Amino acid sequence: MAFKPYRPLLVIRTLYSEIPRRTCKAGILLTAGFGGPRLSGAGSNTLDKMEQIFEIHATDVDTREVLERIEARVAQRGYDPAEVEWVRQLSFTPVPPAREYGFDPAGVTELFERPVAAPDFNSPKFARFRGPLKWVARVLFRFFSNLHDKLNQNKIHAFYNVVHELIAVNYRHERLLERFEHLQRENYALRDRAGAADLNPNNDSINSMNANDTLDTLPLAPVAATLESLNREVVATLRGLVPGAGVDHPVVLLDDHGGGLARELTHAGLRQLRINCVDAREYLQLHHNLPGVVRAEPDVLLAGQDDASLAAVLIPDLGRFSVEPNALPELVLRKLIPGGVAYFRLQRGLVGAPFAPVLRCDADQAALRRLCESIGFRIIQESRPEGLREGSFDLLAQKIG
Amino acid sequence: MTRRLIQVAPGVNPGDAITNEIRIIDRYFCAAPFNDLVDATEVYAEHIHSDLRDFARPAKLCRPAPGDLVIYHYGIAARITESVRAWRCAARVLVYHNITPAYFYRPYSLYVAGRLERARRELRELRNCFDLVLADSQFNRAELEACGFADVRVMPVLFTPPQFSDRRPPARAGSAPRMLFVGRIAPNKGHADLIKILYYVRMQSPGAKLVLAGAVAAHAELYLAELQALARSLDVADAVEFTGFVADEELARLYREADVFVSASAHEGFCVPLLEAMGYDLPVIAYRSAHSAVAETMAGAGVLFDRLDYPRVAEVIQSLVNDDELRAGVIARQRERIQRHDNRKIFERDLYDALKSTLSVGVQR
Repeated sequence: MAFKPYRPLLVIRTLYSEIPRRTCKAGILLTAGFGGPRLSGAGSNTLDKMEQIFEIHATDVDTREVLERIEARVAQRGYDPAEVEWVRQLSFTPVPPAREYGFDPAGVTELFERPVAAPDFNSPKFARFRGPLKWVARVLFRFFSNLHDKLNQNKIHAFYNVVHELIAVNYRHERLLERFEHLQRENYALRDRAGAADLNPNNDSINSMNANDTLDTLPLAPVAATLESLNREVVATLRGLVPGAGVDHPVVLLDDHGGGLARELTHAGLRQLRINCVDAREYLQLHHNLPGVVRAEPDVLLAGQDDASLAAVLIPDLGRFSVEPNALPELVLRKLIPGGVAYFRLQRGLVGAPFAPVLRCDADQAALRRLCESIGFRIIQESRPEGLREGSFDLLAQKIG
Repeated sequence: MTRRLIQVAPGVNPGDAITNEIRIIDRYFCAAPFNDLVDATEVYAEHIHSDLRDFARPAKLCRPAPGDLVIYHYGIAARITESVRAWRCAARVLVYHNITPAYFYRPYSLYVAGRLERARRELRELRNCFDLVLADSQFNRAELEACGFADVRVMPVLFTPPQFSDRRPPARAGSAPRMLFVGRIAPNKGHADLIKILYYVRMQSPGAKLVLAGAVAAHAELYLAELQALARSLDVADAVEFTGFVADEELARLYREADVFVSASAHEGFCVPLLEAMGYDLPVIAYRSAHSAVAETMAGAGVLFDRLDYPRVAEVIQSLVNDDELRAGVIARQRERIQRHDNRKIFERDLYDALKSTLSVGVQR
């Protein structure tokens, strides 16, 4: 048949591939694969496999012979295994069923659909409703309850549709990010093979874009400008306070979600820079984005770091840490050299935005300041970044001594 | 005292297997010799199709008397479940038609997925509420037992088999297969796999067609769109016909015109269309999923496949259409199978007698 079906951008596993199969039979066959040459040489072996797949119930028919004929025909066709696999995987499912939804549809339908219990009109609270009045009250309650259900039906469906769409959009977004990362890796592999002399990410448009644009917390334009200037300011202050930062002693960025601060630091020429990430995907991405310059490590609690060895520890998104906030400044203090710098920033989302980020760790600016001062830090600067919600702050402190 | 038989279902719809079974049970209880148990019959449902307003009444109006018999057909979460549990009646019967696993619906409708998930949770709470528990198949029975139900009996779904005169003439050898599947356009039914099978069938027989007969299930529009996109991308869109809901006469015509009945359904509690197709002398080939009662319903007839190996399934379909000997042999076995399905016997043994003995024990709640 002479046609070339177009291949969709996103090909995901079929719905049924998620379902456990009859493992013993399917398992064997899965590795056997398809294809003329392989099948034609297999003889009775492939026939056994056919018998494992098919169960033909027919009166006065030698089913083994039928299967033999069918298998011979399949071998004759010479199907391309790659094409067969492509067809098998072809799916336009909006969201894979096995995906973690983070939403309990059953619980929510229960909330929406389970009727509210009618008040007990026999209780003393309703003593005034007597005789026919009690009956009228019951009828009115039932009437309004039904009316409310009827009027809300479309709203409930609309609510589910919106939630479903959000999940689907999020899924598509993640898929695009994955594809983007894949392209990045290919880009690096190509550059490596070509022996590109200049691997400085600052001179590479893809890398400088990656650091900021591909991560999933892309700030809106006005806030991006605010954060950019904040980052620049932090780097300038850091270099002023610790001249050997990133040269004699390493600088550690804990979970630079968004990559903005890392970019500023690499622009400033810091070579001993480490970014420790909570998110494995982000870690991999940074590892590929800034090779050579940055050492990306998953150790967010600096467990593998010697005490008094770091020039600075920068935490640009404090809310992403699921650690006890009181413990973090002490931990940082221990790892810093005398005169080393600690930077904390808490972002509560954009002003006016409908959604706020879920903070794994919350902190109060004044309390953090007091804590830092009490354990041996000197506060250098603190501010409330513009464009971010009330309660957002940043704080830069230096280890005394 | 007048004793009523009250059948309750979450919904009644034309062409739906559960609705048809309710009708058949209703008819049997109204006619001799089974009309000694009840004096009147009534059907209630939460969602009633506009064409069936005369057949069923809104479930919220249902008020059973202590002497009444209640049969609850269960397959999805419904508000009425709560009431059924609370009713005081002579005997309560649960007929379990299986609940589609929610993960099939998750990509398409969180609302339906939620109701299905909730139905499974509620099923556990129902385990001590019924005097007689019936399941459509051993597969459904196993599910009920896993939920803590005891003494579950199996009652195969009652359906109206086609008349002998309805049977189709033998297929023309060498013709392009006309494949048929009957069932709602619902994500568990494996339509996507049927389209992929068609793709391979058309490599050998470019004139092959696939007819997907059945209404689009509630909230499954996204699924339909996905199937259409798949058909377009495989360049078989012109060979796939989505008929939508079809009336009985139209459905009979589709069965008669088809060459083979193909099912790739991944989850079925019974699957009546398999038997209907057998009744029309249509060779049946069906996917034996581990999560389905299809093999049980086929009961040693037709062709089963264990793996969605599209090129090979396509070849078997070609053989079923073009190999006269194979076709005749398959149809002969299917006729034996369909003859074993006797509605009256099933009704009498699994429902009527069981209900009678339950009542004789004198259960009163």
